[in-house]
Amino acid sequence: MPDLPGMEHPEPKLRMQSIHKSFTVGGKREPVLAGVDLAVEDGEFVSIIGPSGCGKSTLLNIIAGLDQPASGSVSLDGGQDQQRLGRVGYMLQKDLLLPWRTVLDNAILGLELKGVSRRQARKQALQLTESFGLSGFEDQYPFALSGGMRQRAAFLRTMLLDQELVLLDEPFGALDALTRIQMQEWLLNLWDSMKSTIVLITHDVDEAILVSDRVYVLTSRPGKVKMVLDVDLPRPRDFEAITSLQFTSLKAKLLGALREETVKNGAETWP
Amino acid sequence: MAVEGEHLDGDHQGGLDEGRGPGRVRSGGRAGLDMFKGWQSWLPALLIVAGMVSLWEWVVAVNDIPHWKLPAPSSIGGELWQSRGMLLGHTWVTMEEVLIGLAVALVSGVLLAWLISLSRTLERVIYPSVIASQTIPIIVIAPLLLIWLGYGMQHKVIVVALISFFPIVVNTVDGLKSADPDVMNLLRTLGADRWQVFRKVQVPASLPFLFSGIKIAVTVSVIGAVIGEWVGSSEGLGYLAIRSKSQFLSERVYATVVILSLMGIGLFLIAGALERALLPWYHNQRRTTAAGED
Ligand SMILES: Nc1ncnc2c1ncn2[C@@H]1O[C@H](COP(=O)(O)OP(=O)(O)O)[C@@H](O)[C@H]1O
Ligand SMILES: [Mg+2]
Repeated sequence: MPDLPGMEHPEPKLRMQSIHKSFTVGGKREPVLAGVDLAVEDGEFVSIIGPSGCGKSTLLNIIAGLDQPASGSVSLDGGQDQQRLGRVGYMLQKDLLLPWRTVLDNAILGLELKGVSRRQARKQALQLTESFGLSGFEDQYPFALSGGMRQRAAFLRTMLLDQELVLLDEPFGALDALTRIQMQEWLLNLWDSMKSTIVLITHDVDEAILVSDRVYVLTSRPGKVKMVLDVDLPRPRDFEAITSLQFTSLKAKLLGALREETVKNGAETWP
Repeated sequence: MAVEGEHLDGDHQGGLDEGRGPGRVRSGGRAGLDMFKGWQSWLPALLIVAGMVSLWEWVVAVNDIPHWKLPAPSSIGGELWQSRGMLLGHTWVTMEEVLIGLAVALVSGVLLAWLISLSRTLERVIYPSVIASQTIPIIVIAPLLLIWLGYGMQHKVIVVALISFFPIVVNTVDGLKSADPDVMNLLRTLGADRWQVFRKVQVPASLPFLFSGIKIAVTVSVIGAVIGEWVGSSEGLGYLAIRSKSQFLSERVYATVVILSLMGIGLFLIAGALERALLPWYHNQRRTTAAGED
């Protein structure tokens, strides 16, 4: 499409249209995603929340290019290139650090794969270890680190590539409550300073509201978008926002939508 | 923040590839002997050996067993000392065969394992022959090798290699397969091609397994050298053992056995030391996990 002068809406960073996906389990086709529509603008922080097994991770795998949808389209910056591997940052709940590499060498993995020399990559990483709370631990092997630190090292590996779109799949799910709160505030700060576009999967309602510009609620499997909630809390935010009236009313809406889904499905995973 | 009742997901996985893919399989088939740490931990082993040797000495003395039937440990020790020059000469010959054979086994074993791990088809084509090679008795192959290759060093080196490469192949294949599929997917999202995934994830993940294979290989390699020498050789400890037996020099036969055992133990310890030096991450990690600090 030619660049029309005065075009009001540039293409969003990520647009997914009517994404369908199913898996064959034991000879039976199980639909997992049933027409997901989703758009993320440049610089936006978007969260996805939904019942367990509704296809959230599958959705991220598709965005990252690890998997392809059965039908529907995915476009990055308007381009419908099927090859998205290497263009999107992706981080999971498991830190997936390589045990034979030190923290620093784990962090530079992406740069190394792109052909940057180790020396150059290390120099680049060392400038960031401070703000990732890793200074002094650069030469440690992962097994010597706490869970929170390992996760920050995995963050550094993801962020060092400076991808314009970053996917986070329950990155704090395995951390204890206190560490998780610290990490959430830290992530907010990081995002403020880096201005990348983030898609976060979480099962923590407070987390979703606290960090996001928008929250997508998915239905139970097969997943599709049930509700989109704009979070218009002022930024910069910190943890105190959680007690505000505005926050509480947003939370009530989210919980309501989620409860409907889990009740509908025989309370599959609701505690 | 983490108020109960606000967690939707019960599952604490979140893998790139949920629902399949094994976790880390690193325990199976590991020949890790932690008893070789610090000299105090050697003490029980030394005491057992010393006890058995004393018993042996005592049994021979009390029953007045003729030396050609069963020599006493003291006379074996005497033989080791008196014939040290000659024994050392033969030791070098055998050691050379063992080391060259092991080098051949290591290179061919690792390359075969890499080939096998490339694809299912290659695995189905190559693996059966690798296994078959171990089912043919080495004692049958060895004379054939002598006929094909002639009298010299080659057939002995090949017997050593043939007997040693198997644990290296099997362990390395298992090691390459042990790489976490989630980690491999992560590398793909970082832009890695297949070769990079192999080099940066699968090969390092296979190294602890490779060392397990090497530890088994070095101990059987000594047996391989002896078999090779029995089939046809004019030097080496295996040759010396056979010749001494026919001359009823029992002390000398036992002396060669002692040296061969020491050779195997020494090679095993060297392999362990190399593993600790080259894979510090693996060793310290195991220690931490064992201590329950992880
Ligand atoms: N590779 C796969 N093969 C078969 N089934 C899969 C695969 N990946 C995911 N699934 C199934 O698809 C459903 C959605 O999985 P997932 O996207 O991980 O859900 P969520 O992340 O929302 O918990 C689950 O029922 C899961 O068992
Ligand atoms: Mg998931």
